[in-house]
Parts: sequence; structure tokens; C-alpha cells
Amino acid sequence: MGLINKVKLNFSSMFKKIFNKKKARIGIYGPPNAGKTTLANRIIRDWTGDAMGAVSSVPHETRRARRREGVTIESNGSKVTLDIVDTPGLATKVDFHEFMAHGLEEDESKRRAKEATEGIIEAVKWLDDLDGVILVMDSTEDPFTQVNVTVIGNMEARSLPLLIAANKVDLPESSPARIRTAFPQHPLVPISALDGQNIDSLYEKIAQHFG
Amino acid sequence: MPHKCTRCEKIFKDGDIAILDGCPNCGWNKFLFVHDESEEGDDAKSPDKQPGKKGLKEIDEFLSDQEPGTEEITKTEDEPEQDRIESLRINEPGSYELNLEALLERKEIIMAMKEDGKYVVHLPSVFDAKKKKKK
Ligand SMILES: Nc1nc2c(ncn2[C@@H]2O[C@H](COP(=O)(O)OP(=O)(O)OP(=O)(O)O)[C@@H](O)[C@H]2O)c(=O)[nH]1
Ligand SMILES: [Mg+2]
Repeated sequence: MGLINKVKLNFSSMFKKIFNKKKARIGIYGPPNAGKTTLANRIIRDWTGDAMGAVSSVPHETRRARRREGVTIESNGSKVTLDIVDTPGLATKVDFHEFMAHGLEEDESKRRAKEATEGIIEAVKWLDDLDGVILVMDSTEDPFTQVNVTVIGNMEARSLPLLIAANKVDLPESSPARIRTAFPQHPLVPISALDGQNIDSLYEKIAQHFG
Repeated sequence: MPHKCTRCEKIFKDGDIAILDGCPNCGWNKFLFVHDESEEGDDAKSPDKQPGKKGLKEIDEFLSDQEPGTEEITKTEDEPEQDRIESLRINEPGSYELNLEALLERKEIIMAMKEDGKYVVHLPSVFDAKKKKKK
């Protein structure tokens, strides 16, 4: 309990710092296929009309971090201008067989596996340059993974403000409540990046926490 | 610390992932650590590091002769214990294991490569410099 309170305190002071800036660089993190790029595309399309990058059901579609600068979000009178960084999915293992199972040739699969690995290292490096993180999780999946636990623990250690986007709530088997139970110390918004469900609540939280 | 190819002597910057495939210039797969003068004295986190003494270091120093998959990085005199956690292992081309915790926490990336004759690359990353800047 004490630990959780301390963490919360850290966050609110960090949020305040960002609040004063009204400008924040936010990274979108999470495991492969959680919907990070889908979310980045939606945010950028909703507020600028552009797109961010390719989305695919094949994991590790994003293998280089991409940044979009100057995305201004306004909600409930709060306003924040964000640099948004979409990052490659974090994983503890990348194996080319995974890509071959999706029908890719061996050479292409090996190339992708190497790029995905480099992408994970790049994503980790970006953490040093961020003011906050949106952690995207697939709410149809068990949130207690090594990736989620490790990443959240590290962000807490860095006092990096964190907002959890419990994605894919359009799917019947989704359970954002399971994520909330797993990581109760962080603000969470259930969303569907795909169909836009509850996305306004996310913008509200972003403007409130990062703006 | 930058890396220098032991064959063509080309220098690569800190944490340059291009050398994952061998030297981009000549294809060789052995590198030396080249001490960067500008880094001297700025490593408050590693008091037992002695930059002057370090100079060039053979990456082979990090090699151990254990079986693939079970290797541990050999202890060397002037490397603090905490820096010797392997963060990336290459089982075979296209198959990688990442120690996310080490990647996130450590200031250096240690790669164990099992292709083309095994060798280990110890990559000082850019993390640390940036973290310092923040403080
Ligand atoms: N049903 C549903 N599918 C989604 C949602 N968001 C993303 N997807 C799908 O999930 C798959 C992965 O989406 P991406 O946005 O590419 O995921 P990512 O996290 O960027 O993946 P990597 O770049 O590979 O790490 C795609 O098939 C998307 O259409 C959602 O809210 N609901
Ligand atoms: Mg993506």
C-alpha cells in the first residue's frame, strides 16, 4: 500500500511538471500486436488528419520507432501538444519461425526477426527521451506477462508517467478489468483503437495527465 | 565506447547495431573497444572503472568456452560486476532472446552471438549518457 501511494505521488508531481510545459513527448509501448500503431494512427488522424504507419496482424510489423511531432489534443478545456512515438513491439524472444508461420519466406523471415530485435533495442533507447508513456495491452490476453511486468516496473523506477490503454474491447472475450486488477496503481482506459470505442475518454485522460 | 574492426580498422560508434552482421565495411567479425577520450572521468556510476588503463580491449576477452546456450560472460579485471549481464543472445541467425530487464536497466548492451564462430560484443549504449543529461 505504502509503495503504491508513493508511486502515485511521484506520478502526480511528474504530471504537474508536464502540465506546466503543455508539451510532452509520449511513447506508445506494448507487446507486439497489441494495437500500438492502430492507436497512433487513430490519434494522429483524429487530431491532424494524417496517418502514422502500417498495421498488420503479423507481429513486429513496426520495426523502427516513428515519431510524429506537434499533435495538439484538446479535451475538457485542457490542451496539450504531443510528440508521439510509435515503437516496435517489445518481446523477450524473436524467432524467424514465427514469421514463416505467417507465410513469409525464410530469408525475409530472418531479416524481419533481426529488424524486430533491433527495433526492441531502439524502443528501449527512446524511453530516455520521453515525458510519458501510453502502454497498450490487448485486453483479450493475460496481462501478467514478463514484458508487461518488466516494462511497468522499469517505468515506475524511472518515475515516467504511465497511462494504460486496455485495447480491443470490441472483442467479446476482452477483459480490461483483468488488466486493472493486475496493475491497479496506474490509470487505465479501456478502448478499441480499431472502432474508436471510448477513445474520447483516452483523449480526456491524455489531456489531463500529459497536458 | 566505440568499436574498431580488427581487420579494416574502421571505427563504429557506441552501440552501433550495424555490426550485428559483422563489419559493414569488410565483413569481419572481430572488434576492439576503442577508448573514447571524451568519456573519461564522466562515469560516476562505475567507480572501479579505470579508463586510462582500459584503452583497447579485445572482445575475445569476453568469450568463455562454455557450450552455446549456457555461456556466461567472463569476468575481467576492470569491468564492474553489474555490467556483465547478457542482454541479447543470438541463438542462430534469425533467432534472438532479449533480456528486457537488462536492456531497460543496464547502461550497456551485452550481446552474445552464436553465429560465424561465437563471440560476444559488449556494447556501451547511449542510455547512460542520456540519463545523466536528465539529472
Ligand atoms: N479487434 C480489434 N483489433 C485490433 C484493435 N487494435 C488493433 N487491432 C488489430 O491488431 C493487429 C495488430 O495491430 P497493430 O496496430 O499493427 O499492432 P502493433 O501493436 O502496432 O504491433 P507491432 O507493430 O507488430 O508491435 C491488427 O490486425 C489490428 O487490426 C482493436 O481495438 N480491436
Ligand atoms: Mg506497430
